[in-house]
Amino acid sequence: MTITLSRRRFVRATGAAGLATTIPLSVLADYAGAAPPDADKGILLTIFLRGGNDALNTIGPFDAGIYRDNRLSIAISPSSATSAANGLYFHPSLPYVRQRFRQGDVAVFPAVGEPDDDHSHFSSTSTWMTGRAVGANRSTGWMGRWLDAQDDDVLGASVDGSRAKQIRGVTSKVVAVSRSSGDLLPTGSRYGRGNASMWRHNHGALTDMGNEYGAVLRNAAQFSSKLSPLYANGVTRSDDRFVADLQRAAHVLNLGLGVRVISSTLGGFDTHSAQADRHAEKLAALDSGLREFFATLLPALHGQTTVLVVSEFGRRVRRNSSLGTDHGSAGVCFVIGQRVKGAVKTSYPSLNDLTRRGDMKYQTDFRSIYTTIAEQWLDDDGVRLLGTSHPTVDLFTSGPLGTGVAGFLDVNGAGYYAGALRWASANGIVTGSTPTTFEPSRDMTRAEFATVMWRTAGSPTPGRGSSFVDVGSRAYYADAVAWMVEQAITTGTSPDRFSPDDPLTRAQAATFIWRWRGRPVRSGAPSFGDVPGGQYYTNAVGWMAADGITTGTAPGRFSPHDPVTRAQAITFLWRDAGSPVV
Amino acid sequence: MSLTPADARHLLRRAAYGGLPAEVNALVGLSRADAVAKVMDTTGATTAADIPSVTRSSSERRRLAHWWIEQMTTTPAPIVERLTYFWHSHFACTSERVRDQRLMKNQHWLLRAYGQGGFHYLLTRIATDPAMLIDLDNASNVAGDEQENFGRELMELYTIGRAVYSEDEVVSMARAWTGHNLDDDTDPDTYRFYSDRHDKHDKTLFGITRKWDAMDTIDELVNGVRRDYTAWFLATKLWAEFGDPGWASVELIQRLADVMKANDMRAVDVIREIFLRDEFWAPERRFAMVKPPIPWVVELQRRTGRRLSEGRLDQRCDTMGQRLFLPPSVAGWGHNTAWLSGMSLMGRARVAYDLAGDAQRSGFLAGLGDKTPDTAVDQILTAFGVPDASPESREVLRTWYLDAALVDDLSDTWLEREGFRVGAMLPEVNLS
Repeated sequence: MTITLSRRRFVRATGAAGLATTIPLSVLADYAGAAPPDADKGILLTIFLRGGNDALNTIGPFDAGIYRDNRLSIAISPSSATSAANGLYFHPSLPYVRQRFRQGDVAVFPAVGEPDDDHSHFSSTSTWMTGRAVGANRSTGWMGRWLDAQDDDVLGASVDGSRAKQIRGVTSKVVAVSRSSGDLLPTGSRYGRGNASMWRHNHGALTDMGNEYGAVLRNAAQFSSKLSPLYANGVTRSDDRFVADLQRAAHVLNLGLGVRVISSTLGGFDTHSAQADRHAEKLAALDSGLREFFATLLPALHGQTTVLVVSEFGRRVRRNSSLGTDHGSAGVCFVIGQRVKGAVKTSYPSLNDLTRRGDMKYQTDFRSIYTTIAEQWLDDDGVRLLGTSHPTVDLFTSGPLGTGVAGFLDVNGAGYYAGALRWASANGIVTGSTPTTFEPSRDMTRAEFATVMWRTAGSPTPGRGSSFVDVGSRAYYADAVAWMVEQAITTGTSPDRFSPDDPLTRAQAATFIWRWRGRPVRSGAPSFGDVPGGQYYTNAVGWMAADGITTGTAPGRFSPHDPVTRAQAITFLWRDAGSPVV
Repeated sequence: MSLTPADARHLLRRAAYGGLPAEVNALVGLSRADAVAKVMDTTGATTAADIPSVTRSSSERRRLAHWWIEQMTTTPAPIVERLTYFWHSHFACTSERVRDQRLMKNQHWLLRAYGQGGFHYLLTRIATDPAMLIDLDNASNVAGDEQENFGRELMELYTIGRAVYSEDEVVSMARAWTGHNLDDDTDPDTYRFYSDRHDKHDKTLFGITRKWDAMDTIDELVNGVRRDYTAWFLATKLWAEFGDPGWASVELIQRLADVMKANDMRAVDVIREIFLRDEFWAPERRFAMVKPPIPWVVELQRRTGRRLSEGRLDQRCDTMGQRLFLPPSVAGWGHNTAWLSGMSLMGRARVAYDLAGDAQRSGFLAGLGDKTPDTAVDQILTAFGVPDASPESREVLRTWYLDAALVDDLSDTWLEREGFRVGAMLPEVNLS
């Protein structure tokens, strides 16, 4: 009997070892068709600081007399541990931002604004979230309009529980990523029909609002099940609400659902009173959130992910009577990412030359930053998106350039095994531990190796099953092991055992491939000091070295008794196949 | 023109928390005027004196919110709860900033006691309410060291609206309110005017230069030179709350503003006028707005006779985005799309799940398993008070019933539970 190896079964059987560190696999069936963005597609996370973040205390000339004269008791003390550049200092609650800044990954626009600023939270927030001036149509957000123009499989996500206007479009392509799994639809077979009926609700409406309700419900219900891995045991989540939001933002990207824009908000920046502690607390949350976001994000995604941090306005230069600051004009904007050209991008606005209201004057129209991101990161046209034309700013060192290979986000495109993995994926030889991870460094089990080798051979149907007691007839690797026995590639680890879950050693891997290829003998092969003569694998390793299938683990070393990693195993098979370029 | 059952349900979705069959029947056949008089009747309403006492502790917020939702569920005069909620969202103070829950309770007392009266008195009391003084920082607004927060929002959010005042007026308004602070020595906090902290100099507001004080500004905003603006602004907000946040006409708002000015600037008279207008009864107003989460939960509690526990209710309201005494911003809660996030709707799906077992045990959809598909659909729609649902919604239910009853062969018990969950999420049940 032939058992078709579905991805799901393969993964269920093989994935167990690596699960704690990545997203578990409970809902793989739902992933059919879902794929992470190609490595050259930009991803954007926007963090909106609600209430008007005080730019001057976020990054400012803390050692200037005029600064201290204005800020009095809420002035921040300068320190060598917080210095940025050119006499500017970061708030001490931003150590991670400063670290990334020093690595060249943070563009700081110290004075962004807009010509119509009226100091109103609602009007200004709307301006920033829509990218459109007062008087224009402000029903949709700038990220939402971007989403509207994309193919159906490109999605947005909101991680803060709201659907902030910045990501609201006319279509409903925003996945709500809830804070708790308790907000997902209940699962279990009894709920299947009821949940499915919710998916149909886009048809059930009398009115515009009813249609929109139906669309949002359908979208949420459909994604509810796909998001359940985010809440599984073992997935890290912070106690801080915002930090947890950003961890989930990274997890959603890691899942590869097609999400390319994410909206997040952090409230509490309207510091009219008792600013010192409140502002420090909020900036610390921002800093931790950013740190956790990048720590959670799979390495391959870093090259294609940019974070934008904005707020609706800055605050008055002069401290007020409540030890706080009132609404001001110029705000601060950070753009963070591997491809960002990090620097303080404009001169710092003068504290001697203020607006009539006593605010710093802005130097960069925020829409120039949106335009640059739209055109250089998200393949769009700034005028189409915003309705008005703005010059771009010098922001990126290159376009998005992730390092994922064949949809696997934990794989480095520059790694020695990248070509092998492209070939193996294209030929259906590997399907990964999860849809987005390959776990290249994990030890390969004997069952996994049997399976990939058997698939490389074209998944031939064996005449009969193997007689190993530890290879069940329904195991995903049953046909593969039976075929190996038939071909005299394996005799098991004992007469009645194959030990499918044991790691395979490099010597065993070499031997399997060698036997499969008819036990060719080569003379004059490069020798490895740790491969003595007369071992069961001596001829196998000699053949592999002579034919360029292995170059060893170091000069003169093959490390025969080390477990073979998944990356090494795939590479052996690829080189054996002639290193085809895919 | 007398009310049809569909008219009665429309009115009760807006003026109350959905109509139970007896409530619908009581309105059918009445003239609009008589029906509106009935839903505006405040007999038996929960009064300010009924509010339970609370302590300072932040955990009291949840208890207060739970008490209020219980009033909404059981009151014979739901219009009072609707109006009180309107004012809570209008003067949106948050317990997170006020901290002392006795002050939140006292503010609720004010809204309940004076919300039905003239706006001038209500605003005077709210402006000097300790919770407001803390939330918008006027507690620390003193001469020579002004604090603009309250002065700005007094105009932008509470009276005349944005873009009809200048930034200079914000400064003048802040100066007029200097010295209107909290007493330094009382517990709980109380309002106190400190003459020595008040800016007694000339200020220019609304083109008038004089020695403005706080109460002068309220006089001019509500009854003086800015009366038209304030009436217009409040009429617009009331129409959005009770009529349609997605549509209005200049003639309509002008009429509502005129009614407000002719009736001591009382909101209740505007609401009554809204319910009497042809625009309110037009087909386009039916199911025109998204029912906010709390009215939706209250209606489910009323229809099933069952309750969510205090803790569960608070948790779900958090997910759905509507926790009383914790408005999302100083502008209060929004309308329509503000409630249409995926997370908010998944919160509703969880509430439906929470209540499904209880609803089934209470016989909410008893006998559903014995029906034909079409009569099953009728039973569900009638139970949720939306027999006039769209053909598309009927088809969703019909398909579900055929699959669940015939293909999945769910037990009667599970069929009734599932019927509740599916019905509670129908578009019509979530619209108003």
